[in-house]
Amino acid sequence: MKDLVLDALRDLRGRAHAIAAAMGGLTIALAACLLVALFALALAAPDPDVADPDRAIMLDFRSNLPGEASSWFGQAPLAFGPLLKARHAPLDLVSRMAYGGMEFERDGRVHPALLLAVDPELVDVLNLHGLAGDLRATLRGHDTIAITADLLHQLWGELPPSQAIGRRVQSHGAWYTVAAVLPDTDPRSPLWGEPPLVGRAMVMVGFDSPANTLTADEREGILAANGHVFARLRPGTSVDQVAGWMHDAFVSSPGYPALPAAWRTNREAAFFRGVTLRDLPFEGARQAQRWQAVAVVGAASMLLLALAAFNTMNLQAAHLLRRQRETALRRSLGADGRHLLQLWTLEAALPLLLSALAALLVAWWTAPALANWLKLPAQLPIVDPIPLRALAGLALAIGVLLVLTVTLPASIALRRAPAAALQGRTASEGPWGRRTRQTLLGLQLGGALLLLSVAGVLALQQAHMLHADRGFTTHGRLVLSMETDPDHIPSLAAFTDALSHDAAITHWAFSADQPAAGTQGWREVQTSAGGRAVDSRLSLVSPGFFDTYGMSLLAGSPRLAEGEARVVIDARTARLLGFADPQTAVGALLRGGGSLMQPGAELRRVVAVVRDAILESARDAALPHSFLLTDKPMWNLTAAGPDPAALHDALDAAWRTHGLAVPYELQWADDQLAGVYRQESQMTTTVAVISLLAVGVAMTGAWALVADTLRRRRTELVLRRLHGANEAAIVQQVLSEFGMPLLAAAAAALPLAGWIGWRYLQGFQDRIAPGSCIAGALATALAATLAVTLLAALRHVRLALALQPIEMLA
Amino acid sequence: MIELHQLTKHHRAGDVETTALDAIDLSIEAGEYVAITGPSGCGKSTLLGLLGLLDRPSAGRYRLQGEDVAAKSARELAALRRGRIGFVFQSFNLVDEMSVHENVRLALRYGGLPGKAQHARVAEVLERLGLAHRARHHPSQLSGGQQQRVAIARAIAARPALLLADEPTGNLDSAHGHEVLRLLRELNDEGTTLVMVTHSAEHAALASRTIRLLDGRVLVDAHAQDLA
Repeated sequence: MKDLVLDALRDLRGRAHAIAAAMGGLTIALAACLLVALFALALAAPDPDVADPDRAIMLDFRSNLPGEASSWFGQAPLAFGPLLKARHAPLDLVSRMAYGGMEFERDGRVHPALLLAVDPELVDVLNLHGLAGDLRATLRGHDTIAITADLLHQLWGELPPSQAIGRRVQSHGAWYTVAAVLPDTDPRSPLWGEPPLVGRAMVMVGFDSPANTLTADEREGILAANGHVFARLRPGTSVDQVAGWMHDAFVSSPGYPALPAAWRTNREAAFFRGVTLRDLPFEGARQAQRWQAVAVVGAASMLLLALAAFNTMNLQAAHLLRRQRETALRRSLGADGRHLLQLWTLEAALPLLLSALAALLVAWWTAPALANWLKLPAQLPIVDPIPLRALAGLALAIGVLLVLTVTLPASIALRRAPAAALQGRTASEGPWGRRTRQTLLGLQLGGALLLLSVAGVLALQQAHMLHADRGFTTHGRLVLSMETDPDHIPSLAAFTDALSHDAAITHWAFSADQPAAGTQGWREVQTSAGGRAVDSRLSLVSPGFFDTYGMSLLAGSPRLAEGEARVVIDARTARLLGFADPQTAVGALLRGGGSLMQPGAELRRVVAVVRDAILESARDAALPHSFLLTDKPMWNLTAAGPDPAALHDALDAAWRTHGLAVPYELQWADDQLAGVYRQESQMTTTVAVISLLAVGVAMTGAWALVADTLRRRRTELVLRRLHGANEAAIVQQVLSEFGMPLLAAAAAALPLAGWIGWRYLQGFQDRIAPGSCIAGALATALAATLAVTLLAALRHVRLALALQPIEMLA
Repeated sequence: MIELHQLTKHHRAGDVETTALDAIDLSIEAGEYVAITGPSGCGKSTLLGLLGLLDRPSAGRYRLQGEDVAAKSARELAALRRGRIGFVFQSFNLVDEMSVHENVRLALRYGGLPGKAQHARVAEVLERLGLAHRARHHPSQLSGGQQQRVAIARAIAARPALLLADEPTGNLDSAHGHEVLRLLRELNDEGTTLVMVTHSAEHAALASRTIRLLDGRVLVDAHAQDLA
């Protein structure tokens, strides 16, 4: 064994540069695949504290209102908790969880916290445990609360959890006693939430606590998904049965007959299902997008690994060919196939193992930075520790690569009789060797071309999404968002006065939503006097909103008036309501204010019409928009001004002087818009990086092919020179080697890239023109691949041009 | 020791088939010193390759020390070569990445000899061939004669019963060539069967028997006293 290792090391030393180049590409490719696997495992992991996550479930719900398409909400009406219990569904520990908010004042500052109002059974479903106090008793108490360590730290600094028990705190005028302290929530827990400006500050109370402000209607409603319901499946039952139990509870509930007949006659008003906690990381529109990105990046990484593996295989095949003499010598001295296979396997295994170790190191070192870039929770464990499954996958990849690298060249080498090589007659690869090399290069170029093309399509769509005309301007708009109870915002007159008198601020406005980031919002049915009804999205804004966001007024003026609710609609809404033109709509009365897509009775006067506004993401269809005017301060304030730096300073200073002592943040609307498409952007960047790496790997393959061409055809090229061939003829001879691989690469990769690009674009309602986008991306990628191939061949083309006829005498 | 009966070898390159050896009948006794001569392309090296189990005949029978080897598998042939057949080549066929000591030890690596014994045997043969002081050098650091002596050391390290030499002096000057031939003679005197392919009539005359090939056939097979 020692001799084998020494032989292998000696061989590696002899071709260190070639091996280093191949290993470099392989290390990067393995690291990319490993990182994808590590992140996928981390994102897919269920809460480790939950025993048997396949038996712990969460109810899910999807409404099916006429004319509306919806997807699974990832929540359910809280009413299903008591409904399923009443029907004795075979579920244990049925428990509800509702959301709310609390605010605690300390040292003149307000500390907001996420409120979870839960049934005590949830402690057993999720195996919750506290750092101090009795959690179950806390959740059964009337005015007792459990707080997280983060909130404890905010309120009382480094106070030990046990000393927080019994302390009294006040929120929204009510007093509560801290009776338990919880650890900060694990990102893998279904309780995880890190709302902006609130972070990990969380309060847990019993569902019947006075802190839970849900009304009776909200607790008993069967159609509004307003919380979570958890349970454990009893032995002998499966999660697939949950839909049936929920359906039966739904149709037999007291609220069902009260639903409009049109919703339930000969159709289902809603759909139901149970989701195990193991499957929870895969559910929901946002998660679906995330896993799509993981799949795309994973596929790109695997392709990169294949390209790098081709280089390694090529290298090994060429190396064994050059060692025919030594192989024959060893066989003449009594080495049989087994001995030689051991040697070649070790020679191939050592660089592969080094690549694997280096990849592991690269992945371990870069994972935290990558997690930060992806804006994943810092507490999510990715490489601490490295999962065994990831290591096993890496070992398997190395094993497969080893077999592929050694098998074919070894079988060819062992089939040759040693006599010829010992007599100095080494066999060439023959035509099949050259064809194999060209095929591998074709595959490498095809892979690089495919990745470049797809990256191009992604980038073009990304640019389109960020710069599309949305009916309002985000550039240069600064949004101040405050974390406070919207029903308890005191007067901000001094603050708004300061804004109005600051030269750096030309426009400002309050809004309940962040237009650039709020892709989903409240919807209502607006009905005209003529009876036309339109399902539109309704935003609450102050009158200055339209100037602040540069929205073009087509008619009217957005002004408030005493005693009358006023609304601004966009041109799409006006058309759908039957108005011939925007001017006609101004002054009309609309009815709205209904819940659950029902017509309302609240009268609102249309005071202005603006251009079509698109607040939805590019993945969703644009909805008609209405803007209800109010003069009340709201969570978000947007300001606009000519100088961004001065604007920022002015708004920040005004808030610090006249604003509330609550957490707040300042963010540019452009950044908010970019945040909506952050996952797409990250996927685009990652695919682009991988495609560049693939180009590098393909260049290595091209380099090897042209070097081999020169070596193999050296005599022929000199003879051509001898007989009068000029430079162009020599260059044409050398570059003709690439003709077939490039053609094959284009023929295979371009249609596939076109199809992938088309499929990707189909996921968007607002998309760049597929034809021109895809054609442009493919053409650019093809040109880039050609240029890179020529660059790789440049050195050896120059060497070929340097060949002189006198070499025939050598 | 060696019996060839109607041994034939064809070479095929594409559609063209050439006959390198045509139904050779030959016997070589243990301890003989046989020279094989003939013009270029007559099949000398092909015959040597077959004798050394480095290639397979297209037809005929080959018995080595009473064992029919024609139908044996590659693995069995390798086992047969181990310790029984030594080779000396015109181009030395040394591995430049290995030292002299490692090159010689290569012949012992695939047998059953323990590591210490291998090193001891290598030291012994290097000493015999006057190369002990070059043990750590690499072949590229040696003269042609020294390289061939290393090759001979490797060939005899496993104490083979049969030594096959293919133009052993072809790349050497006359002085070194004579030295190599003297060594081979010594080995033959010690009982090793020696079969040498050579172009040189002078070198062939040193053997106790000369076999002349032409177009893959035995033209002359005579002992030295018959040729004298």
